[in-house]
Amino acid sequence: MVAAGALGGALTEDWKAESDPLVALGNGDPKPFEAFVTQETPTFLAFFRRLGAQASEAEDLTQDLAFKLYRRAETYRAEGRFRAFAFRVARNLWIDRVRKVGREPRRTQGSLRDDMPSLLYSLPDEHQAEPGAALEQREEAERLLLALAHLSEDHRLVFELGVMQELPYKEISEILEVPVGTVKSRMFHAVRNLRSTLKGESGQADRAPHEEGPQ
Amino acid sequence: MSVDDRSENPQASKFDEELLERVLARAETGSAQADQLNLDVQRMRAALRGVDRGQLGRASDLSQRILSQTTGEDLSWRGDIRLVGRYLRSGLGASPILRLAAASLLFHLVALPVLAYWILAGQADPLELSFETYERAHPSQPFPDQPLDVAGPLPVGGVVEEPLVLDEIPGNTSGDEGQDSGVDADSGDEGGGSRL
Repeated sequence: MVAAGALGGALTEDWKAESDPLVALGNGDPKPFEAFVTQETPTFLAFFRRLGAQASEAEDLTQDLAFKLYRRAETYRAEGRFRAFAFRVARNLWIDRVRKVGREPRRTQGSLRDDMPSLLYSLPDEHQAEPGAALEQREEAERLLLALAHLSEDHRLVFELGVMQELPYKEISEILEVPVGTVKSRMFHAVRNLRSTLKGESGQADRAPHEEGPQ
Repeated sequence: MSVDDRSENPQASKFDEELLERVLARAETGSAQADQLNLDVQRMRAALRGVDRGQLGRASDLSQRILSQTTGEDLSWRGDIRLVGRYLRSGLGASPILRLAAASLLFHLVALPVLAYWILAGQADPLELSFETYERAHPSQPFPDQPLDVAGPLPVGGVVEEPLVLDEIPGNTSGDEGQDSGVDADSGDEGGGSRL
């Protein structure tokens, strides 16, 4: 049974060295790995969905991620955090998919509704008594998803890891293999664009840092 | 200075990047700017996480599938059968053409034996014999194509007289014997010849 707290949010537990699923698996104990799969499948499904995968693609990518981690158990060395390792594998899978498929078409409102009808229109329980608030939240979510889809891959990844997964910048820089300064800059631009969307303004065109003008 | 308007001022931009890092790390509170930024970030999180609630069912199925193929994998022949079954189910589920082909194959496998039995059971008994009677003028002549209309019962005693053919009877030169026999050299084989 999937933990109710793992509603596509950050990893529910910081998988420390003593409960590292791959170290345990390498030692013949499958329980931590099973717990990891059961608890964190929604996290990675949501991760791939927000990056731009369709529902079935996100499932395939999550499955591939689990299989890759499982197969690496024998050669895995716990040199850093397992969490960073798992997201690095996930990010590599995503980049491979982007290279294979090519740049995906920009999402429009219609294609977004076709892609996630059950997601956008499933009401959270706490808003059942306030249909107006639920509708506002759906519209806000729709605007944010469209704005997210229009970010570049780099900005979207940084936003997903920093804001949605709540990873520290140092860990994000290890996962993405870029300097911390680059992470800060990309995060700033991603958040700025999405804040404009929240305020209902037409979002600024997503520009890479070097296009910002003289500094 | 607002957080958004920093394109001309690199120092301010650096400041906002640092501020954002501290807000995300939950290490900055108190200032109006930080609070507003924090509020916006929380709204983004809540809106985007709320979208994923509908996926819980799929996530549960997916995690079960993953476990059945990793730590829960059955390496015996039962596991192989389950693997083949899973493959067939996913294939059939994904393609309507494949479902149609599978249904057609199943229909033929079930229907053909039934059809074969029905056809074989309805055929005539191959051992049943029928007799046709033909007349020919002389043994040297071939039987005609059309059989005689043989109507009515067999003669009394059930004996069918075989006509005697003079040419085939050796040493037949006596006139007295020929008179009683009622043999007519020219009569040929009449009334009794038969062929199966």
